[in-house]
Amino acid sequence: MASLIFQIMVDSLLLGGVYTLMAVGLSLAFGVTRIINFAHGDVVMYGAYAAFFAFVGLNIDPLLSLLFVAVLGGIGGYLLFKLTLDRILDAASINQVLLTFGIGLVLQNVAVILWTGDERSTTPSYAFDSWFISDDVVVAKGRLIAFGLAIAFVVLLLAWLRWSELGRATRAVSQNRAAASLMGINVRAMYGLSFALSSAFGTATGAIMSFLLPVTPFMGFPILVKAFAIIILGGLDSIIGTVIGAFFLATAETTIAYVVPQGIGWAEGVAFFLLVMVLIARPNGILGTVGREA
Amino acid sequence: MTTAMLELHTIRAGYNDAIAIENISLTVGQGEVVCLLGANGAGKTTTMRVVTGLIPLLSGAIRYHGEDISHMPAHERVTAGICLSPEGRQVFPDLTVMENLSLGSFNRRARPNRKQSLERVLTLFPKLHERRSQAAGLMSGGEQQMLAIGRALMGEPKLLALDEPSLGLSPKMVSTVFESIRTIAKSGITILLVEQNTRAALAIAQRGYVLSAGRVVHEGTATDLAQSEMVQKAFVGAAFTKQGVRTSRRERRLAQSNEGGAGA
Amino acid sequence: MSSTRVWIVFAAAIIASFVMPHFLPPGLSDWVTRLSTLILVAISWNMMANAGLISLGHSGFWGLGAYSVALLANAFHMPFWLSLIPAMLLGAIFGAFLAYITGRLRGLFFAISTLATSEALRVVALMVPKLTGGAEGVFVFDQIRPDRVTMTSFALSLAVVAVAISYFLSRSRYQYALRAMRDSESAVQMLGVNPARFRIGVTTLSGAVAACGGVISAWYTGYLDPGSAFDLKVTISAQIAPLFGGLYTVAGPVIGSIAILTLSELTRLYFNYSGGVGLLVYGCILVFGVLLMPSGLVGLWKRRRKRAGPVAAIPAGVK
Repeated sequence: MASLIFQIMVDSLLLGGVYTLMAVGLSLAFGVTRIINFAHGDVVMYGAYAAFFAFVGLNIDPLLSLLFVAVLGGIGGYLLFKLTLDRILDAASINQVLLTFGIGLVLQNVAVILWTGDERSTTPSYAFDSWFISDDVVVAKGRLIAFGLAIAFVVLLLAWLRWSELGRATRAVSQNRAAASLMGINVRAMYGLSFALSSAFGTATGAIMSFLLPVTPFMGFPILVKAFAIIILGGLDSIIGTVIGAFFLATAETTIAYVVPQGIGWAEGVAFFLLVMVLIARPNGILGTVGREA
Repeated sequence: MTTAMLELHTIRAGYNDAIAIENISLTVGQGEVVCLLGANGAGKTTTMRVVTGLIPLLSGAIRYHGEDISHMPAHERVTAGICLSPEGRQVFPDLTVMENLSLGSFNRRARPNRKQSLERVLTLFPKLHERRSQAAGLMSGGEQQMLAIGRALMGEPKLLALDEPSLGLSPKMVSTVFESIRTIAKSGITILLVEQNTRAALAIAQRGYVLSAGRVVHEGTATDLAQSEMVQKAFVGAAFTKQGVRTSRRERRLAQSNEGGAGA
Repeated sequence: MSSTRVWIVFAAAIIASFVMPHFLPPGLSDWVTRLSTLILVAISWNMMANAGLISLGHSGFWGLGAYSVALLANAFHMPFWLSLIPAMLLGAIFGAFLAYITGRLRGLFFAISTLATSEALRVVALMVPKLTGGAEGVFVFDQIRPDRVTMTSFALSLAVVAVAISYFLSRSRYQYALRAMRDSESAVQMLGVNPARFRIGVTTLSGAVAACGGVISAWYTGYLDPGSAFDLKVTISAQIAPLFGGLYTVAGPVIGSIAILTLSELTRLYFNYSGGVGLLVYGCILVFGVLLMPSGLVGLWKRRRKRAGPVAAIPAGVK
């Protein structure tokens, strides 16, 4: 019994790290621009495919291609922003929802056409190794590495936000857009930057997931739903809240997966359940301030 | 002869389909303290927003040091030297006082001199030094006002714009803040001041404009305005609103402290 | 048009929908049935959008309707017209649920909730095979399935009713409230309408209408599985039709549906339609539509309506 609990704890922790990385991009972009990117899941998916092709075509380990994939994602995200969202920043939010939703559709179906719906994955050696901590508790090496990387990225982001000039400016924009421009901050440029970062983190997540999950064009959707649940739970405009939300969701899913019969299938529904609970009980989330009708 | 630092020519501006200000023309000379007076909703803040670039002008022109900045984006105007302490303070609530101030010198002209600017601001507002690690959102109104002004100063302004610095402050706070404004003015920085507190404004300004219903209805030197019938009427009119009653009592106490206390 | 005349038109239309299918060739009959289901979800989506609620999970209603048919009809041998009632009830409950959980929150939360909920329903359908047949799906017993003519009459008449509802709503005293709600829910309160309750009313009615689409589809195809019942395509079509044909209008969803269906038939005939291409085109339509229309797709329709009526517009940039 104790070892089951311990196993759940270990797995939740490792999963939580990846989930944090998955959601933090969405949270950052929303905090700064107040736009929810409904294509975020598909951005993650592209990261996974990028890592896959690097692995299969160039024999590059996903961990090595990670940085490159992230940079590519950042550039792609910035371009996407400049070409589309930048033009409708003042539009009614319905347009923003439809636009990002449409972008997600385009991204997803380009992937379907190019790469079909077949499942892929990268298979680096560590994806198959595992360590035994005690008699009954197993740590999958791949997951541990994924966790480490994810945490590293998130810590870097938090440090950047806290101590760097641009990071501080980013926080300023997310708290008061007008006042930020009064500081000489080019708010539009900051929007572009946060979208670039958001996409970079998204594709990085995809690269990491390439050896954890099957890679298909449709993997983005459940990821999106989970990311939503996480950021709403943690509070839409709080990065720390996102971290908390991520670990919370990871724990809930892992527990269900282990404890409930056929839990793995049901675990997919946990995100939704959590989302509804939060909306009913405390829409601002744990640490957020955005919720009530504007 | 004072060289005009800021000129507004027949500005028209508003929000969506509603015009808020019409045919606004004014000048601010180098080193002057100019105030914009008027009742609530007269268009003073709208004018400020147009000057700082927060809202676009529909017609007219703004010249700064002779250069037309009518369509210059807000953040570039800061680099050019126009810094605003906005209405309602608008501090960054979850950032500390220090972080707020540092952001004030974000623009590339002011950034290299951040350390010196900080020293100057903290000397001017010792309270801010006390509270430097506190989240700005938790401070009192008066402290936030000092922070807002300090933050604007950090941008090394050539033109310091102050929008309603007395709003919501206790009379004691108002006099403290205006003391500081006087000190700033003495250091040679040009100031454009928007105020509902007519008496406090005219006490430190050299010239002023009176706005009503979106237009300039009167202008003149501070002494002229203080004695003018129109301003008196506007003042008296304000006295009958809830705000006005408080204002008049505040005015009286401020006047008392000005007469009784030492001049700045 | 006077009120009586309108009633007559609709009554005539319903009669026509029972008469006409007898004279339609089978291919056209099928097309009319599919068109009717699309009109139903399009009108439903439009109704919600009218109130400022963007649904990204309309397939949820559809799937609920479809599965309720499959389960109840199979279990109780319910005739097709009766199966409408539990389906509409489910759709209405689901709609009310969505409104309830998003309460007074911004439209964004509603969009996210619809997305999550439809996905969750799909997961449930997948995970409870005893009830829903799981991944393998479930068949509607052949014996009780209606013939083509009945099917088409059924579908068409439902579509007519939906148009009628939408028409009368647009002429009712709620129309100003609806428009105000789009811009700001607090403005609505000034009109004496309770926004929360109004929202529930809209989503409940919408949900019921959309569920009907699923009902028809289930009877029509005779088979469903979680993937097809909760297919994203349903949500997309429900959006594109009104956007194409006229958002917020009565005729828009109908015109758009006809356009969409005709277009997809043509592409199927000429381009050997593969799964991804259709959705890709839809996605591009959404993206370019929002970008190229001067004020987005919504703005296009908004401008036409600007002449009519005052709206409490809250300036966007004012702090």
